[in-house]
Amino acid sequence: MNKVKDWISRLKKGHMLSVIGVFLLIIIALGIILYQKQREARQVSENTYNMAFYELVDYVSNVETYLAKSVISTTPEQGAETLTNLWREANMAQTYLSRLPIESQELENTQKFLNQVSDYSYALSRKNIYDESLAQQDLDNLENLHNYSVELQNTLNQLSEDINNGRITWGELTKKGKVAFAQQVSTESKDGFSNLEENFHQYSGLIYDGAFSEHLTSAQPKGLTGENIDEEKAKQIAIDFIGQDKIKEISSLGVSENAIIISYTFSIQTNENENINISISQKGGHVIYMNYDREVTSEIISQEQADQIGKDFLTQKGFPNMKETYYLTQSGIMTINYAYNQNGVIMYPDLIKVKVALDNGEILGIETTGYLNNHVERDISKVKITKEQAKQTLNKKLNIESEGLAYIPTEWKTEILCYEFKGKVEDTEFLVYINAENGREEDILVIKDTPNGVLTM
Amino acid sequence: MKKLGLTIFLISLFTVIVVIVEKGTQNIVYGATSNSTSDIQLMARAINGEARGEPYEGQVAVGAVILNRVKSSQFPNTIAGVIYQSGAFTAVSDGQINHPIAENSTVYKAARDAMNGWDPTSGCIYYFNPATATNKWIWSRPVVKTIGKHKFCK
Repeated sequence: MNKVKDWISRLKKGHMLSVIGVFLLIIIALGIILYQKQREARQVSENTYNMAFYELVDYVSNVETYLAKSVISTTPEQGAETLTNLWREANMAQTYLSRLPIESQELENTQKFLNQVSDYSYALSRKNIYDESLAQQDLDNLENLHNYSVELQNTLNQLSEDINNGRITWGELTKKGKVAFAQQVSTESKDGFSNLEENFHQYSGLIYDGAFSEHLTSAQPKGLTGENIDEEKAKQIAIDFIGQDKIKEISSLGVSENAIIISYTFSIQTNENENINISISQKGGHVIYMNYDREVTSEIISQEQADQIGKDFLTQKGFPNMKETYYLTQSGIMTINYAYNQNGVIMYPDLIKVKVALDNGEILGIETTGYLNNHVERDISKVKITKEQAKQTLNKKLNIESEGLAYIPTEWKTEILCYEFKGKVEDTEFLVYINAENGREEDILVIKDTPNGVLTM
Repeated sequence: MKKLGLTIFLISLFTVIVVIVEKGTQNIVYGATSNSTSDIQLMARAINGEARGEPYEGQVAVGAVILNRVKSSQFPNTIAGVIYQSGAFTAVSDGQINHPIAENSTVYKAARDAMNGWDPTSGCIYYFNPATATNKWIWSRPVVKTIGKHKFCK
């Protein structure tokens, strides 16, 4: 009892009451500051989401308008203009859609629709540039896409009303944690956006000449030849590829079932305790990739030597006639691109990449999917124009250093036989590709010498 | 005099706390805006946040998933767009993405390998950790491969 009295009197002596008062003030002040900070932050993110949403509404409305125009346009000039606008508007709509605080799988079909409208209109506008009028199939596609865009626009208008009335708030959509509670309040907000996705339940995608065409997800690899093998056989191929004498232990990581190229993957421990992964295709037992990483501290091997090491390695592994095309050095490891060389014609789609360690020339990795997807012997007799004719199309300022024939890949997995001209304008190096069948200028690459190697842009 | 001294002490303590709080918020902004770095640095940061403890193969695989998304019609068409898409990567939500990566680190090399075309996932666009995944939807996707702790799926 005495102790307590003593303590209280000591409190009084030390002005503890005012101390406690000041502490309370501090806590209140801090609370206000934190609250304001948090409100500011929330306001910033709400504003960002609102901006993204209203931009999306505008761009989708423009997509609808241009799709309507594209269906009734009759001249290639007007068609090209409309399709170019459509390409831009759909691309912007797609960009703003992905900035909304909604997880990707909730809107994947909406995203796909906008991406395909954008990409498809680009592909069609190229047709118009070459004065080819649109086929009936294309017009039907555009009309179909237009119907989807009308529905999308209607749903978005409904959503923007909900947002304006405060029925849907971004805060609810971004809420994390306390799952049960959050779900109860936000179903209305979530439902609003799933209506968006609902529009595309029937949408099956488009097949056309573009990077997002539906047929690309199921393209059959041309270079994947041979009979199916079992896991035991695949393991033997892996062991032979790495070299029995280097292997301490090999274990299976299973078979990849749902991939385009079904494969067996193995993890190999070397005598130096490095971990190598290697993947063998079920069909034909081809090596799809091999890869590992180790510290490379010195760089004593030159680019030419590394080129030769890579080429010898490829020949020994059953890939003769490969020509180096580009290289890149990073942390003492040089990655070299090789393309198949058929009687002097470079097949850029038949691509193999090899990683060489610059301290001792060891092969650290190989990647062959380009080769497996595309490699066949080509018929080069399609050449219709001469090299001299092709040269006529070139910019007169281009100082030609080398020339030849090459197959180049398109974004939609076809290939074009071209004359390849390498040359300089002032100090910049270019690669210009002229179609060997019709003389069109198909592509121009800028070669950039970076400190790490050569890059094409 | 004692009272005055105490008040001064408390006021300075208060200022220190406010400065610390302010600094905390400033740091976040600084980290987020200062990375005017290339795509490969951004990818290395994402790999670091998502698969730091995974085998090298698993790190390349995360980079490959990012690139497969860029190529897919169902996702944004740029590396930054894919990485910063809402809810796509936990490394972005919790700020680990702001941790700078040295050029000779393993995750940087993994990002470089993925960029150069090594794809251990054979075209996957999703992955999850079966031990921690709470999203039921992700289990419905066809799994292609398991690498380290992650299941990769289409």
